[in-house]
Amino acid sequence: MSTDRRADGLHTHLPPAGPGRVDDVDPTARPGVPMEHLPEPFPTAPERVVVQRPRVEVLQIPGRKKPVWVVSNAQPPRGLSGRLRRRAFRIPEHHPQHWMLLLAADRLEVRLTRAKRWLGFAAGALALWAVLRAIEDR
Amino acid sequence: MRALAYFGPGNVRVVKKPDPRIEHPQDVVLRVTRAAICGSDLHLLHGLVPDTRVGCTLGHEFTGVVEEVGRDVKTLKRGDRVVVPFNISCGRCFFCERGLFANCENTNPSSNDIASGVYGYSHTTGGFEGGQAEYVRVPFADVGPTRIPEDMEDEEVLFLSDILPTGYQAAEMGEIQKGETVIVFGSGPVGLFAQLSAWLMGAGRVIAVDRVPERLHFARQFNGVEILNFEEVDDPVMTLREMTGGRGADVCIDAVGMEAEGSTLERALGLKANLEAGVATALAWCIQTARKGGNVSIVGVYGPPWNLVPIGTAMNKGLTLRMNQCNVKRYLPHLLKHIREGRIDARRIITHRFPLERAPEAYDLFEKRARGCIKCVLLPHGEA
Ligand SMILES: [Zn+2]
Ligand SMILES: [Zn+2]
Repeated sequence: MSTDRRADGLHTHLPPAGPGRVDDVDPTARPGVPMEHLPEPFPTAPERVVVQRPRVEVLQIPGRKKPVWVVSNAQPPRGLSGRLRRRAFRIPEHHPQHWMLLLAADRLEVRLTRAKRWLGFAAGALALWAVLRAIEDR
Repeated sequence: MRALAYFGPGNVRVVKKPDPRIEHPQDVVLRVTRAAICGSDLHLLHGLVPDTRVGCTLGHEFTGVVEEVGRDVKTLKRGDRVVVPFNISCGRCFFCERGLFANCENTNPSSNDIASGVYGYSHTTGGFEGGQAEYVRVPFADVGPTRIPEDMEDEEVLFLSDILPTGYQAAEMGEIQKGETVIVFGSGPVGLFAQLSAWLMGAGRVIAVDRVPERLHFARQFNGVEILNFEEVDDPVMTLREMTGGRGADVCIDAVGMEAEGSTLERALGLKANLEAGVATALAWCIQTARKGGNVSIVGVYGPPWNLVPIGTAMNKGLTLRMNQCNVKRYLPHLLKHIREGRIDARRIITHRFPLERAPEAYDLFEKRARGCIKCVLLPHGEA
């Protein structure tokens, strides 16, 4: 099969698609066969791992034996939606209630964020109106 | 920095955020050079993935340049160009040691059942910030990222982050044997690469099923497959059975997932009433169009807690169902070789490029499959 490459690194002669393109016919040539191989650490995996200490509240699924090694500090649970999320994380994930509560928290958070934004706009508009009135009254 | 953030169903905006920083000695921080929008990002956009928090940055398909290096990172240095698998994997837990990088148990505190940590894919996969941003934090930098060969461009290898290995794994899980017939449901980016991989594995016939004419046309041109627009026939399952000699296909691949079209009833149940996690019509069609004793391979994304699936039919037909998130790291060297040697031209599926500030427009275009859109790529730092 052609492997010509132009000087700029772009391929020039791509082989046609379709039947006859049979490079990985032999299952042993396929890199994920079998999907689960005999245990061996990934060659460049770290030998020792420090467990990351979160800077914010990280919700963990109940029943976890040990903490995970890395976490995200982004968007910790907050406010009313945060309370719903904390509740959800007291229920194991094989119970649908866990997921229903999380979805409810998502929708609530979106509505509250929107309401806060509108309240901010409204307060701004009101302040502007008051200032204009004050100027007019002078 | 600027980043694309989620503000509720149908609402993403580019906002200012603090730059990411090293939070663990095995982290690096990347300056993102390319970030793609994935079909599975649309599930987030539509609010279908539980625990998607307001303000989170999306994006799990990206390339970048190493900007900052954690003190225990051994294989990368500042300035290295890398492509990053969407899964965050430790490389040495029970699952990583067995090659199941997508199932790593050390990177997602929020779930045992869903997946490893994933960039930009809700707190259900750990809440890690995504790559549709100027910069991104990459944990376990000695495990995930792969250095991009000097003579290759970022866009040539960008799709090694997810859709190319996912499509390949889809075909691989189908255990395709020489000459077999393969139906691929969904002709989006993952479906396209599943079709291509089916040829590489010696399929005799590959049939692409979708409803978007431009996508089917692209599939025929890109992969030389047979096509079926299921909206143009009364009963897609009957048509596909007819097309496959009445018996059905040896292998059926679900590259659609939870927002499938094709059944009004299921869409009402799954997307309007939320009585199931989205819609599993494509999976049902896989089960119904596979031959007895055949294989069904699932890479379309489904959410918790359940879906309506004709499991009795699968049982009675003696089907083998195989599925997983993609263990991207397993496939990187092999597929990189295919790209280098010209057997796969992954970049050809890019139809649109946008600067980061126009990311919401890119989402809109991709969601509507408008203007022949197959794949959108964001350039957070311009052409560099
Ligand atoms: Zn993706
Ligand atoms: Zn692991």
